[in-house]
Amino acid sequence: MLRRFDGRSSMPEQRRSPGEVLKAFLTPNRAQGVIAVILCLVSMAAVWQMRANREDQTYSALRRDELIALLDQLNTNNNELRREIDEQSEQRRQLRSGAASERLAQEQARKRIQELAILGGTAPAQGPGITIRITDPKNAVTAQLLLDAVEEMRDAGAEVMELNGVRIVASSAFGGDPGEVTVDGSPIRAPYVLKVIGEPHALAEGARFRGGLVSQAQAPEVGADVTITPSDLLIITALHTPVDPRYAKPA
Amino acid sequence: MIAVVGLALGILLGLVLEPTLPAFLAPYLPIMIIAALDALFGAARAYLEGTFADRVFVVSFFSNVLIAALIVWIGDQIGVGGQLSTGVVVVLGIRIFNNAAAIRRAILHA
Repeated sequence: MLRRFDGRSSMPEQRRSPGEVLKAFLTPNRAQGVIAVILCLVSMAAVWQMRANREDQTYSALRRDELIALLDQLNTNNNELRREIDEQSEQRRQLRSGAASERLAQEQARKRIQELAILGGTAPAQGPGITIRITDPKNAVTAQLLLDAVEEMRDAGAEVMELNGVRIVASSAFGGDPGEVTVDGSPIRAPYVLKVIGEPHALAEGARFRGGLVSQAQAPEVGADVTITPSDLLIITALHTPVDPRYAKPA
Repeated sequence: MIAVVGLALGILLGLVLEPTLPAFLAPYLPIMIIAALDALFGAARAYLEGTFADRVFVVSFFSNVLIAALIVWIGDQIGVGGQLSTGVVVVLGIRIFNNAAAIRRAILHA
């Protein structure tokens, strides 16, 4: 039934040897022409398909159900990612507000530390104030008189005080005899120079009122001379070394 | 010899022409190529076994290609296109392997 167009006149044996195949390969005939045309078509189609496959990342070559599955998956991914974004931004918000409040607390704590350091005499301070200079020609200025002077300045609103290079704090103690007065254990000599930071006018008034520091010091039995100099910027660098309390603890 | 020239010419044409595939053909061309490969392997086997006939080859080639595309097209119409194209590829693949085994036996006698 089958006609053979293999270029042979005689019926070939059932199997061909490689040599025969090679020979037939090199001899043109009609069958080869047909195969050539077919191969041409197939290879052309294959190359097109390869190119299309490589370039075509758009989904035009996909079937409808594949596209639907793809769309479903994209939607699911989208929702998941959106939820993740929500979670992350919420977390970010929390972290940010936490950081802000922490910064605020730190700021306040730092400010309070500064205030307390000025009050406790562990930090230098500056500001307007007055300088009171008390000479003592008769060696008659007592520790009591100096303590009174400090108390009066406190009453007049003094914030930071320094007496002959010693920072006056809440625990400062005056002692010694006239002429050899000690503050916090360190001896000081006349003239006594009291630097006070506060409102200059109020401080000067506090020193000058009748029966106050000036009148006491200039009384005939003391015979001291008091000079009060207001200034806009007074710098107090003397520091007090705080001692840890042995008995008192924060309650 | 002419066959190799035809193959080279086809590749060249495919590279040079850069055609855009018609959209309706795009899903079926891969299946058609597989069917064509199957037909070619079948032809090679027939030739080696001495039963090759070019008319049979041409007819079987085009009918195989058309039937493969038709099956997948029908599958697409009734909503099982993906499964059917997988099935066609599997069947054609099996046939290609069978033919390749026969060719190997014919050439290498092993």
